[in-house]
Amino acid sequence: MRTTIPRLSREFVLAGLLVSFGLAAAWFAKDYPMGNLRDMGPGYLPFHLGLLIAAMGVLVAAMSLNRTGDARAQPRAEESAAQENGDTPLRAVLAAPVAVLLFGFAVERLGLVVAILLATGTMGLAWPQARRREAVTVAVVLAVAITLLFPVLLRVPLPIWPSP
Amino acid sequence: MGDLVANLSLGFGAAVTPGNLMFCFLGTLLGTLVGVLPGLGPITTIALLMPFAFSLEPVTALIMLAGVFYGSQYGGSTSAILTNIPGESASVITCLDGHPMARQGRAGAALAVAAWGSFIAGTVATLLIAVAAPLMAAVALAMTSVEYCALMLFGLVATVVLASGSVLNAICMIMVGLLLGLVGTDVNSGTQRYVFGVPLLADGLDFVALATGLFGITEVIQTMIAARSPAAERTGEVKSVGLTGEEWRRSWKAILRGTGLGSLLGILPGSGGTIASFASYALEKRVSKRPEEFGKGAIEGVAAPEAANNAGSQTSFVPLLTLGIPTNATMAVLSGAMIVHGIQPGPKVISEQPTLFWGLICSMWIGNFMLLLINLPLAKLWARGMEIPQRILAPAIVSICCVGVYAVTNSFAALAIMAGFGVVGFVLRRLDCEPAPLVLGFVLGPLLEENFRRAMMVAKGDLGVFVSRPISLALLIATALVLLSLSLPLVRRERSLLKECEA
Repeated sequence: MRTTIPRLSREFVLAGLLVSFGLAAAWFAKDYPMGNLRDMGPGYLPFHLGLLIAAMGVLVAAMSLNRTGDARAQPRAEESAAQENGDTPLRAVLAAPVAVLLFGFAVERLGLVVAILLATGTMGLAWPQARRREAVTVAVVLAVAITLLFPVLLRVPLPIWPSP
Repeated sequence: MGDLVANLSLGFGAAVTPGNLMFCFLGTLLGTLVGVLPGLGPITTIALLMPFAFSLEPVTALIMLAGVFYGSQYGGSTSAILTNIPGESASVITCLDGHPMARQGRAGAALAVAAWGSFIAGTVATLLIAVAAPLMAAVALAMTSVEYCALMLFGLVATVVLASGSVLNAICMIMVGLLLGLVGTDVNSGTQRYVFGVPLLADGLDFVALATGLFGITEVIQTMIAARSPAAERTGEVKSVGLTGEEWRRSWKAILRGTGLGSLLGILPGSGGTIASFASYALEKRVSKRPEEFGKGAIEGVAAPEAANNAGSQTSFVPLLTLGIPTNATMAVLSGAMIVHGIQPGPKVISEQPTLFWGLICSMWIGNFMLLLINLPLAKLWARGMEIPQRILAPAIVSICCVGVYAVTNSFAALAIMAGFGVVGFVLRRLDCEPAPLVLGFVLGPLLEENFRRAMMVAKGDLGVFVSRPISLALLIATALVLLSLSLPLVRRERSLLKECEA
């Protein structure tokens, strides 16, 4: 995945997402009772809103085609900053979501402590220029602190240890 | 007038209990902290605190959550002045003169004028809310679902226009948000929409999971990518925090002008404090006898926008509490918090929950006073907080997000939704789309559908009802004018300037 997508294709990506999201929404909504404007069923608004979103996607694409000229003329600050950073590593994008999912898998069966160790460990190791020892320390400190704060002190009902 | 005094004393009675004072303090303290730390914002923090606030009395919970919001505005200015990184979008403008002041060794004066300016603005804004809110609620009670639809449309469009970035993209984001808001069981018919057999989705997409994903997780992803470039510069030892007589003389008028402008802009739909701070900076520069000093450490350039953003963020509670319509993303999250507590934001809050309403208003003044105490003597401590490296902060943010969402839902699906929206938020930002309009649309989706359906049922499917009723017509005309204003050169210039500052 690259960050330096030129403006034109960036708007086309957005347009594509909007069209597919809108059409999918309308497709699922067509099976819900539709009703009419006078007495709207549960499908009425989602169906039309879906179509409208798809239409907006087409508009975004059309506008970007129309504007190609002057968009090239003025490169934007954000883009030049992105260029300095170079490529976006997939690792940096996925580390946090993966940490969240690991937490979710672990917390039900293995308890909060293990779940936090897994989540913070993932984050620590995925960090650019990871320092292993520091990552482990941070994970342990956070696991202890969060366990003391939420289930113990604030009495939030969460399983702390693995359930038998 | 007598009413006002009675209302305020009712409010202070409710706000000044040991528990409420403690949670007010906790909220403002946490708010300052997240305001100082880049990467954690008031929206994420409020979303995270919601599960824990759930066990509190509604008034206590709201006092704490509101404290986080205006506290973060104070904290945001501290990091803007000391490191040139705005902790919050509302403090972007403060960087322009606050940071040059710090580089000249006047960090203490900049911090002091920001704190005093915010406090004075907060006091005036509190009084203003006390006067304006009952009037607005009275108007709101006379509105039918037709006017509500028109008002929501106006609110959504105005937010888009005043916010930064591409208007077209923001409108798309609102629509996507509106649609996501319709996920779940339809109240009128019981039909399940877009549930796909996931039990959690039958109650709708979980708001805490959505907001935490879009703001918290997305922010962490962006920090991780930014972590590969060199760290920001730090400047300025904080010596004594205070103002000289000369500095007071230069700034008091700026504070008052900022307060006035900020209070006004806060009530209008828009992005609350951010726009207010921007407009007041522009105003100050225009009326100043020394416009050439702006951008090089003019104290008025810190005083006015800081006063304006605090006044604006406080008065932005008015549309939420009287019309039930959140006008910015933070208000949308607070609206979610109120609903979780079984309070429907709207004109009935004042008459049916007077203690809650006035308690909340008065707590804001108390909170502002506490912020003055938190910020003036402790500025040096906050400056230290900014030195916590992101590689320690980021894992902490992720775990707290997980614990918060899991505690309120007890569901793996909610965590998956949060992770998913974290990625969605990242992709959207890369595509020049702000997540805030999406959240606003999400919160207003069910409200808009309900009112639109009701309006159409009463009007027998006649869309003409929106132009035949005067208030609705006026709102639609206002909406059209706001859209047209986009083509005005002045508005275009200000918006592009705003975008430049945020980049």
